[in-house]
Amino acid sequence: MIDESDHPGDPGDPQAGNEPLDRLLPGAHHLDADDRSLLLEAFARLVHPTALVVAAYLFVVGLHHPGGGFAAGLVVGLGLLLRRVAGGPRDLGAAARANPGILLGAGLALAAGYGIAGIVLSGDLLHGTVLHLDLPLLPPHELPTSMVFEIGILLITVGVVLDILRTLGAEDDR
Amino acid sequence: MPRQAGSRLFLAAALLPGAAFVWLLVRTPAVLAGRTGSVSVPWAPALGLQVDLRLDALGLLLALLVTGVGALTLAYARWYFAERADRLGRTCAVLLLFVAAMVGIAVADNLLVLYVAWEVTTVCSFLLIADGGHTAGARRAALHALLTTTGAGFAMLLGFLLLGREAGTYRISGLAAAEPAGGVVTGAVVLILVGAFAKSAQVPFHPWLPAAMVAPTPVTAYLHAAAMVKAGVFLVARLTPVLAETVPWQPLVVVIGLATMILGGWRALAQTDLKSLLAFGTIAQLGFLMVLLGAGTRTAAIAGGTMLIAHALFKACLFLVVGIIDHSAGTREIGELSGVGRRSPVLLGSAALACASMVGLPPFVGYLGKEAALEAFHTHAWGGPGALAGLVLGSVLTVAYTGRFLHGAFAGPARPRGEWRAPTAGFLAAPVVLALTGVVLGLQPTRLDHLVAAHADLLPDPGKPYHLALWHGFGLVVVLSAGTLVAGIALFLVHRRLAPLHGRLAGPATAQGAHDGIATGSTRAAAWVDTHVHARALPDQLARTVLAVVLIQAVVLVPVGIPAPHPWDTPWQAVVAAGALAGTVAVIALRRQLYAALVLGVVGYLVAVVFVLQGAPDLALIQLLVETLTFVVFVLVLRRMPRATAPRHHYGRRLRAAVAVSFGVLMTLVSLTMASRHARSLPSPDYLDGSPDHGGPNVVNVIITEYRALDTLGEVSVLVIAATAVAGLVLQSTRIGGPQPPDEPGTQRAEVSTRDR
Repeated sequence: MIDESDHPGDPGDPQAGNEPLDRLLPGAHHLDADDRSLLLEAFARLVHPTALVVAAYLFVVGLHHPGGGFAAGLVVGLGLLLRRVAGGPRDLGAAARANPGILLGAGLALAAGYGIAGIVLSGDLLHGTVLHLDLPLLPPHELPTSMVFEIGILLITVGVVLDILRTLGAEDDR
Repeated sequence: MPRQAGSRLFLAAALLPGAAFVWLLVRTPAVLAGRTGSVSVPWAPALGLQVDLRLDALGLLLALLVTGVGALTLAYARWYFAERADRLGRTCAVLLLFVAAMVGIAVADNLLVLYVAWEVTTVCSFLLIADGGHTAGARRAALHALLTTTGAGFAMLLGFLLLGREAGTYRISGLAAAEPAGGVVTGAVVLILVGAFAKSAQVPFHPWLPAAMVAPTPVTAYLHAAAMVKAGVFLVARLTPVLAETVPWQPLVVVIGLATMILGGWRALAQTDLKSLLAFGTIAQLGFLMVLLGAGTRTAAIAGGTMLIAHALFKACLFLVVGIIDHSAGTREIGELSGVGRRSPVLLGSAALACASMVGLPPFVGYLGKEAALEAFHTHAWGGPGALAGLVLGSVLTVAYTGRFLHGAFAGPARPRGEWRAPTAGFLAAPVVLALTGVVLGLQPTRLDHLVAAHADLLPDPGKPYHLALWHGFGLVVVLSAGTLVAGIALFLVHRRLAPLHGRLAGPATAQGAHDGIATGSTRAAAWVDTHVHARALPDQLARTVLAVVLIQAVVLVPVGIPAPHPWDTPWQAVVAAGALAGTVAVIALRRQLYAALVLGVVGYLVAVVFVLQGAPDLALIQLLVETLTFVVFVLVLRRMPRATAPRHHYGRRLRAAVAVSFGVLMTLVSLTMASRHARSLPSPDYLDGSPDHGGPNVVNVIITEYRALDTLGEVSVLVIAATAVAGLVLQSTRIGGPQPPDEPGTQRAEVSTRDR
């Protein structure tokens, strides 16, 4: 709970100037002391970046193995979820500053734009192809254009999770 | 919206139809020489649909009217809306879309394309009449017009489909060669005419047109005088060469048209509001046009084409004049106006010119049209003397209400100063141009004849060919023409004494009553269905939905048959299933919602294990991730609920249990049936073989992003809509935790994030 009465006499940032520069979780100090758990905060701090890496891995590996944009988006969402649970709504805001509406819109625009690009480029809705990349020092790579579509799905998934966390998680903490 | 541009926006917009008008004028000689341009664009080739466009003489006529009057009206709107700042961009955009749709009707050479353009005009008119929907009257009138014209539009679509199927083509230019005939075509004719009658405000569909007068004057001048209402008579003109000989066509068109003409004229005579007077006058004129264009002879079609032009010119002009009067005097009630003619001779002049055309004085366009009309029904058209008598009576009424309009709007001594804001020259320009065009065209009967005859030549001509001219020699027509003028003036002089008669012969009131009755009746029916099908409480609604699913699925499942049970592939499946079953029982037994949600999550994880055992790691991964998220969402929702689970239900425990068990049994059977299918589905070999070339060896992902990408796109769209709706509904989009200053008071924070949306 955000409790303004914790910091009487200072309606602005409660402890401006006194705070340590490096926090475990940027928004967690807004929580009631009783609601905080050091263990959980430390865990969230450690796991969240890892979750992002796992998401990136799942996204890239989706071509060949289980994964893809949706799974990657869910993992990103789970990371945010952890931040929300450990650090409260303020920390969620610090972890993901983007407006969920913008994420949703950008994702849908990307996915639909990819579909329309298919019409423009080859006359077929959602038509894609596979690019073969031969980079120096690296083994040959295949890059399907449908990755763009996957990024759209990823953004939408993250947007939905963020939207749910912000709306459904908002009421009690207002 | 370019608000700073203000109403000058309309001047820029007027350039578009203006340019189209010039282009059409340039094309005119070629079209009249028989070189009709046509274009076909594939629309949905798999369904055999294509957009066929063709510019022939009739289409050219309408397109010229629509773009020409459209440009003038838009230019006029610049001054009419000069003092208004809101929704100008919207009005302007809808008007332009409307112009495009009307041109689409004019050049459509395919019944279905015509229907689409037709409905676009309906929607535009709805938006324009409602004009933001800030007053109940505007909303009601807009809805009235929409219901009448779309309802009849559906009948028309059905008629088109029947006609097209019977003729074997939807191309309008191909219909004549196909010569459709038979009982089905008779039905199609009636249905199509219903659509045309409703659009052109014929009896008994007419009440929507006077109601639509709540719209701003440029809108009514354009839609309800020059453009949209012409669509109905245009359609009749379009199909007359093909269908005039089909049985109910001529009687229906002529009788309904005459009834409309007489009723409209009679009612116009009783109006005290100038705009309503013109509206009923328009109804009368549309009846006149309907008779002429649907009669099916060459002479009548020539008269119809001429009157089409004449009516667009004089009626648009008169509406614009009324708009200026309304603006300058602050009223358009006949009783409150006085001395307008003295204050603005230009206004009086242009109105007088338009009125002269309306009553059919030489040398105006209306005169040419009226002479041709009398000639057509004097000689050979359907209905003979009876129809001729009806036309004469209608014309007498026209003369009388024209007199009432001119006298009511302009007569009387000049009022004290200060009650008249003189209109600027630009404001006056459009009506003046329209009025003068009526004279100029009237003085050019040969050119006009050229324009309208190109279409009329498609129709049979029993007598000697008729040509428009200012003098045809002395005969019955001239006598009738002069007689209508005299009788009309006489009627105008005595019309005040007829006031009691108007009260008694209130036919349209019953038509309006019928419309209201249908409207309230259907609303009540909808309310009845709603209360009897849709439950108020969420659990009840859920029970009904589940029950419906069970019944429908059972009907499908019973013929398929239930497969022989197949215990398990590996014993591990049995272990996992036992765990899931135990968890399910626990969910039901647990009293605390939080624990129930937790155990439900465990059941979900166990399902993921089943996926792993079946060799579907993709599904298992997603199941695990979604299950985790769902659990937390559950918790977030449950925090806001009372702790104990004692929901009140309208049904007993047993009934709910029965619904739940039946749903469970059904889902079990469905799962068993699906799992017992060991054959691969038809497309799967293609999926498996093709996927390495399409973006990777992971078939599941390739299916999601390549083969079934359209499905995926649809699904994510639904997801976005659902998320936005949840956010909007659950908490009125009050999100917290967004990028905002750290410690603002709560209320302000809510505002900030609402604005962020």
